[in-house]
Order: sequence, then C-alpha cells, then structure tokens
Amino acid sequence: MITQEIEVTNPEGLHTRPANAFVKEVKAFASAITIAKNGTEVPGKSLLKIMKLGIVQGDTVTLSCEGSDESDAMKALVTILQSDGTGS
Amino acid sequence: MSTFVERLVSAHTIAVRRSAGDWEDAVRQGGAMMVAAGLVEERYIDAIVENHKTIGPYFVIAPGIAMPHAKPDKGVLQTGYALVTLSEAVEFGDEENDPVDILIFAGAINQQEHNQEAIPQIAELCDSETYTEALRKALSIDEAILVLRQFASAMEAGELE
Repeated sequence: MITQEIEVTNPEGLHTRPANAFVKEVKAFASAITIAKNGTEVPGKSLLKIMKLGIVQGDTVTLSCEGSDESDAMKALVTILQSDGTGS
Repeated sequence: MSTFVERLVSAHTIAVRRSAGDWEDAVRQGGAMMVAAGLVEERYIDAIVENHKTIGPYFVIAPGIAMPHAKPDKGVLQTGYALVTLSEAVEFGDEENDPVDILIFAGAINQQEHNQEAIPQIAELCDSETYTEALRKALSIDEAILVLRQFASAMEAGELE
C-alpha cells in the first residue's frame, strides 16, 4: 500500500465536478483507494462520501492506494487534486 | 445546524410530484422557483442547462438524484436551495444514476458556502436512503418539509451514518 499526503490546490476544492472526475479515475484502477481528511477516511469510489468531507482548496488530504496498479493510480489522482481547475 | 434545510424551507422553493417532459423541463421548473424567490437571476438557470449540454450530467450525484447548480458568479443573489420531486423519473444521460426523480438545486453566493454548506449537507441527505425514500413518497409540500426537518434533526444529533 502507498500513502501520500496532498495539499489540494484545485481552487474549487473537491466539489461536484472535480469529485466526479476523481471518482471516475478511481474506478478505472484495480487498486483499493481511500481518501481521508481530518481523520475521516472514505472510499474513493463514493462520490457522496467524498462530497461529505467538504474538501476545499488548501486542505490536506491523505490518499491511500493498494493493489497492482497503486503507483499509477496515485499519480493520476494527485494530478486531479492539484489541477488548477481550468477547463472545468 | 442544518442551514441547508432552514434555507430551503424558508424560501418556499419546494415542489412535489411534478411532471416533467425531460431533464431540461425539470431543471427549469425548479429554476423558476429559485428566480421567483429572489435567490438567483434567470441566467443562473441558463448556465446550468448550458453546462449540462456542454460537459454532460456532472450534477447527477446518486441513483435517481440530481443536484443542479452552477458557479456563484453565474447570477446567484443569495445562497439558497430548491427541491423538486417528479411523479415520473426522467433521463439525465448519466448511465449510472438515471432515471432521476429528485432534484435538489443549490445556488451559493461564494465558493466557500458552496463547498462547506451546500455540498456536504446535500450529500449527507442523498447518502441516507431512509430520507430520500421518504422524500420520494411525500405527496405534499408539508410532508416533504416534515421529512427534511426529521433529516435535519438526525444530522444535528449525529444519528446519521
């Protein structure tokens, strides 16, 4: 399993559109993926549970990926959390 | 304190068992209530419809549930909400969650209220099958308000999952 702490730099935080993109990306990987904020950990494939975390720009979240494609998954998900929000 | 429920009830922007021809009709019906209540300008609703047409059904968030919204700078006048339930569900073009029969509209005055009030509280409601099922069954606005207040009490008491 790999774990990484990430500061969310996407100016919109992880609201509906970026969260949707995040969940779609999670589902594309075989690894089991979770995201946590302030000690609350939720499954990366649950849009509603991620929305409940209320992630905003500047928050630090912890991503965990476990499985055969864990490093690719981590790379792809970090990209979403740190995108500049343009084009959405 | 569920500010989402308080704002929704006090704005009188709830309609139940509406019939809608398609997704846009459903969005426009709820949008009209928000405009009439002075929550958003007409162009906010146009922005939601346009976004849906250009980038797809980004606001369909759970099976049968849509949360139509656009960015604060698209004409939000004050943070507010609307709720529409449909007698017959309509397709929004989201394979996973179609058809939709509950629409919870959100319009936040800034990104902060959107991310910290609208999104988490609406997600909380949508994640609770007990309350979404009760909303679907509500035959009057008063019944829907009762369900929303029960949800708000449960949330405040920390009784939700």
